[in-house]
Amino acid sequence: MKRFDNQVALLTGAASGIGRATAQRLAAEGACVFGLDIDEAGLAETEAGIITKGQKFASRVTDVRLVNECRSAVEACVAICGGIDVLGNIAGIANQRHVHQVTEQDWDEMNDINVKGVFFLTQAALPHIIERQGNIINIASNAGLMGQAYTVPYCASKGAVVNMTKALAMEFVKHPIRINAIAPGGVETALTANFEVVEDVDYRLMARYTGARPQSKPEQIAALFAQLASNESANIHGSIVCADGGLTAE
Amino acid sequence: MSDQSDQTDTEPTSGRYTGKVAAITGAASGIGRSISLRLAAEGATVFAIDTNAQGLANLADEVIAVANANGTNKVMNYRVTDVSEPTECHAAIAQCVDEHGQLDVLGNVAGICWIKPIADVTPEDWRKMFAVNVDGSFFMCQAALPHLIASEGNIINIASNSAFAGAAYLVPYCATKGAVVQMTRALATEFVKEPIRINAIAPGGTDTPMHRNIEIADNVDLKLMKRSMGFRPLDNPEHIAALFAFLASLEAANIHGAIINADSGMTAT
Repeated sequence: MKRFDNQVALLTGAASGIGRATAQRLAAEGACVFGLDIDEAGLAETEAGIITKGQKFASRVTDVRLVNECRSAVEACVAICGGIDVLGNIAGIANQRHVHQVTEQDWDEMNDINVKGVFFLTQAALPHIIERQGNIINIASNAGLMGQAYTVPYCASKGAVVNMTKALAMEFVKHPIRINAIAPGGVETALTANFEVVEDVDYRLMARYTGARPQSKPEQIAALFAQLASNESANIHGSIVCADGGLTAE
Repeated sequence: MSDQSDQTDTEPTSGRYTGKVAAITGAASGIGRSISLRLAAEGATVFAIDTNAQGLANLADEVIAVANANGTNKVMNYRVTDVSEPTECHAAIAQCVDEHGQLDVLGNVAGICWIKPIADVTPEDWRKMFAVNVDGSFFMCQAALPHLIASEGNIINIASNSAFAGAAYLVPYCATKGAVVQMTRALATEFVKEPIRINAIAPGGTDTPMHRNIEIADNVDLKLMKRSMGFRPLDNPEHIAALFAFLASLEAANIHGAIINADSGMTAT
């Protein structure tokens, strides 16, 4: 008996990085994973890697910025996999900008993906998760817990995820579900590899959030996700679990 | 990354602690006992520490009986130790390393709690609570750190949701657990360049002898106390042990300086 046998995990951002590693981990532990992403080719790669091991994965190209897409994705997951035990809101974007450089479009894109997508996918999935007594894990960031120079919109969006997680946990504290968040620091993913530092950056300010230890591997975040989403963590609800090599201890 | 695919809901992951030595304080009962049993079941050699000699002996019997039932031999050493005495902390770690040759995990679990209006707290009460809950963790860490750096090991302190939420009639307890949280963060920062991890778990109410036997003074306002009680049932110490076993394992190699709330939503509000 594996920890996620007979369970369905709906994961966003499943085409790469933390989302893909989490899909691999949960599938290896018995879950049927339903992956969402806007990157169709990346989803196909995730699928191929999981299916060749004889494990279960299905996917749907989905833009979580669109509320109707969130609802359709949940319907598709329930139709194909039969329900939802675990929702992982993993899709996210990050960038560096000086405050004066941030356009309305930048701001909206960041919050539509990182916050609005999390809310409306959660809203659509909640009845199904309550039915299965399942749980939700949002991927926040240590940027949701500390000020990080040149990433004001990102910090705002992740701060929103942190407090949305706590507010959801309180609203549903009398229901048989759990809602938590993981707050990673830097993780070796495409999101960080493609991260462009602003012009005129003051590296002393940036050093406050780059930390003294190496970046996490996506597989390490996936291991924590699996621990937190499993029934072993039945007592963990409304928690924001930092996994950032000591950055937020300072 | 090891393949964990043989894990189950309730069965410990076999072998995650093979060849590892864990010193656990408060091991005679409650959370400390559950952690000791869990780590032993995952292959660790546990060095158990407590003031309660009978509880330690019972734990050793149980660990050895479980091992024998599984056809394996197990050593289960322990030392009756009052962690409120710094020399005792150093002596306990020295004995552990002397007997087992190494130390990979330190769990500072021993703690005391009582519920009293502040006017009734005597200087002796205050000092006793700090001596066990704070001094004990500090001097165990001080004694264990060189050995843990040598083994690239880790420390987990058991804090409490009382470190984050002000609870009426628990002023000394809240103060001690706040100290444990900040001590964990400061240690994590001081040793961020060393190959060691230092984290804390902050449980809510857990179904342990400490909780069941908690002394509640007669002159308390129960309405104020209710504010620090949650909506969900008391936790099972085995859940804290499962989190401890994950956090102290190599799977959590990126988690350092973290305080993990495991309180069924109590600190979300």
